[in-house]
Amino acid sequence: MKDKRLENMRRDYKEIRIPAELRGRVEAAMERAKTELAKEQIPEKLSQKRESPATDWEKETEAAGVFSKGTERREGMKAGKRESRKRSGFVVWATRIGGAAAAAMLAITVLANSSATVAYAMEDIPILGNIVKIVTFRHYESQDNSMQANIKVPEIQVENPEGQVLEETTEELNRRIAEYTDAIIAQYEADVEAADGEGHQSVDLDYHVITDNDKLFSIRFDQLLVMASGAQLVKIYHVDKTTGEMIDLDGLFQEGADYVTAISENIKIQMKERMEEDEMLAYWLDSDMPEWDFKEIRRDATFYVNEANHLVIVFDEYEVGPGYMGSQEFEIPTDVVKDMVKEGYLES
Amino acid sequence: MKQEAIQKRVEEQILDSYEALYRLAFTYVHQEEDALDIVQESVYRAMKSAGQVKEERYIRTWLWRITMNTAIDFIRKNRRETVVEEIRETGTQDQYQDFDTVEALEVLSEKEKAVVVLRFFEDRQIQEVAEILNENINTVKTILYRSLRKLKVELTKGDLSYEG
Repeated sequence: MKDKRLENMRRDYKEIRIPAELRGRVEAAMERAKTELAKEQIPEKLSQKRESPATDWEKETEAAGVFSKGTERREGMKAGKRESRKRSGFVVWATRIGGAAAAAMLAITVLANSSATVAYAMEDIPILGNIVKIVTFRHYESQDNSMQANIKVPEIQVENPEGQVLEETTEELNRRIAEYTDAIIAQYEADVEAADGEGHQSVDLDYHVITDNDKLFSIRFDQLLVMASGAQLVKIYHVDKTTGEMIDLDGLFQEGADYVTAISENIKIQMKERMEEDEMLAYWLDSDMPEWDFKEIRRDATFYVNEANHLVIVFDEYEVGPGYMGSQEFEIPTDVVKDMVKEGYLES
Repeated sequence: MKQEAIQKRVEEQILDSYEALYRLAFTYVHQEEDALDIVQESVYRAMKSAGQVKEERYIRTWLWRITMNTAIDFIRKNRRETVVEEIRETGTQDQYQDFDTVEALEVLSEKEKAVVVLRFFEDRQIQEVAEILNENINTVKTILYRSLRKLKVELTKGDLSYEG
């Protein structure tokens, strides 16, 4: 049954008058974008030569507001200069035929916010997000009698959609990775020295990009340390591609949300289910060593977001159960945290 | 897919849907000049970043989304300036009841507006609406129900899949 009211609104919507100049405005925007894109292909030196002498940008904005068509053409000729301020796109469009003065005012008001304006719009468009890539890696290899290490350290670069490197995040990410890997290497070297040729040890560290979707980039490090027995340790670093910053687990959730309890309780239920299904599994839960029992996850627990966009919490070997169980992962149903998670990271 | 080919598809898609994009923008700003600015800006942004579209099938969704964001963006930036115009008729709660035009959508939030327009006026599938808003399908359904309630539209069960 079609609702009468909705039908009427729909009709009114369909009758919204399309101004005659719309087509022309659309074509102008396409042309301008194409011209600018073509200019960007020209090597920088060339396009710099084409620049007209520097003029006050705000004055130009006013002009753009007052004389729409004429300015349009002049701007085209100066496209080389525009490159340096292409983020201010919105300003240029403040072209109003009537009410010239008002338009000029508006143009200047918008200018102050224009880069934030663009940034905001970009934020919600996933395919335009920041880009994170592994540019190179270092390889630490060592073999000493029966001790060996094989450690791969990636170097990562975070770029905004325009291809500029976001120095701060790039540095922080690489620094944190280096801290982690250097500690492993230092420990290995100390062990080699202490063992004085008698030791048996093997350290392997490898990495994988486990998530690279619209929202998140996550890189996972798996360290396998074999001495008498082995230890499996996992470390994962995440970059929020929309902000270009690194985030920890609490970055996924709204401020003040008690995700720790929600997730921990769910994990306990899953632990019990798994133990019921498989009697070989023994998580530290309601055991006779209460102080060892799993109580709750750390606020910065190791996690990743899997292909289904579900949160997965990762525990190192020994963290929640005996060593033979290796490292353990729990997929958390999104329902459990749906009122706390920030938009866009997880799906149900 | 090759970059030039994507660029070409973006152009085609713009020429194909600019009128609909204009209507969406108009629904937000109720003003011809503003709506024109928004469409022009959106087209420009889309063209400039066409190189970053990975898959052809995203192009349409993506155009809608740029336009929606640009419109919302525009409203937020200009809110202070248009505050005078926004004080419309002071009336009772039911002022929209006998007012079956797009103006009636003003009771809705920005997101709700987009969902109603896309689903019921532009006949987009819920799946596509969800992609445009970057929400999951259930969220979109919830928004739809809530919007219809606010608009005092009464649909019987199952009507969310209604084709107008």
